[in-house]
Amino acid sequence: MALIAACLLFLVGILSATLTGLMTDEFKAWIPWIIQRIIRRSIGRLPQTQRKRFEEEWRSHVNEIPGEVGKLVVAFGFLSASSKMSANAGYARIAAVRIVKRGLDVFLSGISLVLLAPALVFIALAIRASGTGPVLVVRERLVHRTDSYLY
Amino acid sequence: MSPPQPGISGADIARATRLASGTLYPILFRLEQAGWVESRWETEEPRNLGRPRRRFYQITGVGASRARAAFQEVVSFSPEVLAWH
Repeated sequence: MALIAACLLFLVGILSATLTGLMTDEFKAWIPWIIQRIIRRSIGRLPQTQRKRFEEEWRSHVNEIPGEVGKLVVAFGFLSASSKMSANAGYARIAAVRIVKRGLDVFLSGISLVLLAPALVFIALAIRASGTGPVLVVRERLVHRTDSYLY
Repeated sequence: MSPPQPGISGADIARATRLASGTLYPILFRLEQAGWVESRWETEEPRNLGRPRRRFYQITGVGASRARAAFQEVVSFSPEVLAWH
């Protein structure tokens, strides 16, 4: 009975040792692939013009790091580096979008003012013809926050 | 024989400054855009090297004088100002 238990324990010990070894080998084999994936993902976040340069630069940086785990840590760093570096580009994009929006506002409202001008003149004349009151409404209005008057 | 390389690589700077890659590269990127540092590729072709080329950074004249001025400014602060932290 004790012999069987001992044999079983021995077998389990050998099995788990091999499995752990296999797992470690497997993980080590995957690390370069994982690093490549992380770098590629980091590069994808950069502005188009910077991608080629940093892809080569970061690969060479990883190349200069001796251990596998160290390489992995550095690669994860690239991920956060690229998101910071693209954040600047992001602000520029938002600024550009604002300028375009403002331009569209001015352009479209200008065009519609010109196009509607005849109709507006006609409406003004119609109001003038229909009664005695003024065409434009002038009324006092209280502006809550500044307590100043607006017409 | 390869000619002496101009400047030091990002990996070298990371080692020297003890900055993580996620902190270092945004800084280098901004400094380069501001003209404080410049960088160029390793002169050898990657095909001959059998690995990706390193990129070497070098401080510019403008960068050096600006950095010196900024350092002087910090040094000139009174102890009370520096004690804020």
